[in-house]
Amino acid sequence: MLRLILERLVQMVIVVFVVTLAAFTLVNLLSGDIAVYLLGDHATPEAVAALHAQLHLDDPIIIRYFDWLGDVLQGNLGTSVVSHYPVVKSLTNAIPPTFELMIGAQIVGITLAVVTTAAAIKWRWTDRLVTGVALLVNSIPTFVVALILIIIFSTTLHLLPSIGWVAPTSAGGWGKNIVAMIMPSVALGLGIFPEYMRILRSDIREQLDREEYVTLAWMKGLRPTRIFGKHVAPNSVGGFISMIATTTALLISGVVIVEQVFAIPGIGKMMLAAIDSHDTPVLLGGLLTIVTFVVIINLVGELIYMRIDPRVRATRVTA
Amino acid sequence: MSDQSQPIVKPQPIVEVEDLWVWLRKRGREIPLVRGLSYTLRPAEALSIVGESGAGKSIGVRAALGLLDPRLFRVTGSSKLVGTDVLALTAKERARYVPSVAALVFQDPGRSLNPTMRVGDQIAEAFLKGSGYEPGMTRAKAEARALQLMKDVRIAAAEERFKAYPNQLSGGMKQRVVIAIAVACKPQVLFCDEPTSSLDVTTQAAIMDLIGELRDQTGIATVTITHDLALAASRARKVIVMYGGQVVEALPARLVATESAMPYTTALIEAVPDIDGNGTPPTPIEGMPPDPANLPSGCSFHPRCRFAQDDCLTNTPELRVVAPAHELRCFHPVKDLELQEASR
Repeated sequence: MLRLILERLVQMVIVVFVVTLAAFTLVNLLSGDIAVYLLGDHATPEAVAALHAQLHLDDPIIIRYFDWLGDVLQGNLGTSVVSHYPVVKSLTNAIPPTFELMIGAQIVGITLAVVTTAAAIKWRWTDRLVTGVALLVNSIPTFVVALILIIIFSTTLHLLPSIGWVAPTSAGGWGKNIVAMIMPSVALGLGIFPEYMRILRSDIREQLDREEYVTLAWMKGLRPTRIFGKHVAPNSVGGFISMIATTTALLISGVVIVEQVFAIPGIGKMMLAAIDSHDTPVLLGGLLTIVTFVVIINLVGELIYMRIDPRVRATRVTA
Repeated sequence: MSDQSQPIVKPQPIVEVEDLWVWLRKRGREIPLVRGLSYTLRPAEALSIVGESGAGKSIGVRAALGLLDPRLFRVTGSSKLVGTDVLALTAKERARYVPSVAALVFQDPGRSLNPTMRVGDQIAEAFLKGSGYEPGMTRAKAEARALQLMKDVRIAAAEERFKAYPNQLSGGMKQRVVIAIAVACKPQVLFCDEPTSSLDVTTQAAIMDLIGELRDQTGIATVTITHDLALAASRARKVIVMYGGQVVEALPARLVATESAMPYTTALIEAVPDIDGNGTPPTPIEGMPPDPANLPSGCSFHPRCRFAQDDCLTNTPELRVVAPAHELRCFHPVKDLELQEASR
């Protein structure tokens, strides 16, 4: 177990290195000049050259990357070249909304998946209904879902706020905060639930149809709830748990969109603005946070999977 | 007033399967997989059902236990287990009743145990939450009994194995665990669906010995499905041969080698290495088993039968009694032909 964790930590370092290097290179290959962006269109060539020197923009990309990496290893993520605000501070402000949004989306996605799977397994007509609905939902882009939700629940029914993030420390407290998070979470959660349902439904189906131990459990005279809880479920959730972990990574792109639509000051919005303004330190700070988070989530998913299934434990620990 | 004639009381049958039919529902069609299966079993009796893959053996047993999904299969006829027709029960009643009288051992022990649960717990579960439950049962008692059962089915180092997961045991060990679970439910009849096909030969014999011992010690009846006629004849008292979803021959096991008369049964005997003791090499049966969706006319076996004549193509043979406890579905039994040939 410990070996696996160490192994994954080494992998994480490699992944973080590769991803940040790639991002650093890409940002610097973007058209446009940060100095021109900062100084405006009418800046003199001398001023632009001076700023280039000040920001070391004329150094080769690889040198600048290792400069940045050296700072990061000392715990310094730098300051925004646009606002001169420390990246760490921007991150501490941006992480809570994004984190809450992702948790909310997962709660919505998992709940919908479990409920629809239950319906899909119970009767044939509910199976057709929910798989049809899942397919339909899956084919609508997240931003369209978000806009439809806003039209229905904000502008028409006036039930939910369409915009903004309310810090739980503000006057409204957690109540206001959660109400504001409902629609963004649903918009994002709707996008992930069809895949969840698909894998959960097919895994449970497979256990029920093909595996004899379910029949043996029935022949033992166990109650249906026990057969399901003790025999079917633990053998069906492995793929689901892995998928929750991997989906967390894919969710990031949805987060960027949803934060934009609902004006949530999270990491996605922060990074999008940073790309716009060529603000490399901010972009890389956000990226570093996300990559680290994704790797950790995947590790946690793997550990849970191992905890449930001894076969996985056997193969992964010896490997 | 008294009954004038009270013959020797035979024990009540434990299993009475009567005219059991099973259809597979497929794209609006109904394909017959089992066609009129009947058999009776009394306490401590051993029955073997023999046939090739697709003969309807497994499906017939699952139907008799009420295990088939009604959305996929249609089942008619009756299957009385200890006097109650399980096919007439509701799904809920059946889930309570069937496990209290019958147990099932599966073909592939690798798939019949829950991979995420320790084997000891899987046995103890039968005592705690299943039909092995008795008033006053506690976890400690259930575990003690489960451990004893593991020793009874001769699992070596049972204390260690108790905490093992199925993937840590060999196929034979897993099958012993499955048998222990079956025994824990205190059944009156044990159905074994090819219990040894996925095991090596020495383990096969050990598992069959174990099932035989259980029968002798506890008096449960056993129904063993197998494709191995030699195994069937040596381990059972009565043998039923199935072909194309039908019984084609039923006879006492000790007569299989000498009295079999249905050409399919004799072909099976010739396909078994040396069952008749004369050293002839085994002869495979030509052709394929019939497709249940597209059964041949007349006798289902005629396309593969060496002795088929014109009437076998047009007329459908019925199961008929040819000797005490010997039934046959054939117009031209092998013995008759041999006699005919001899008289010429």
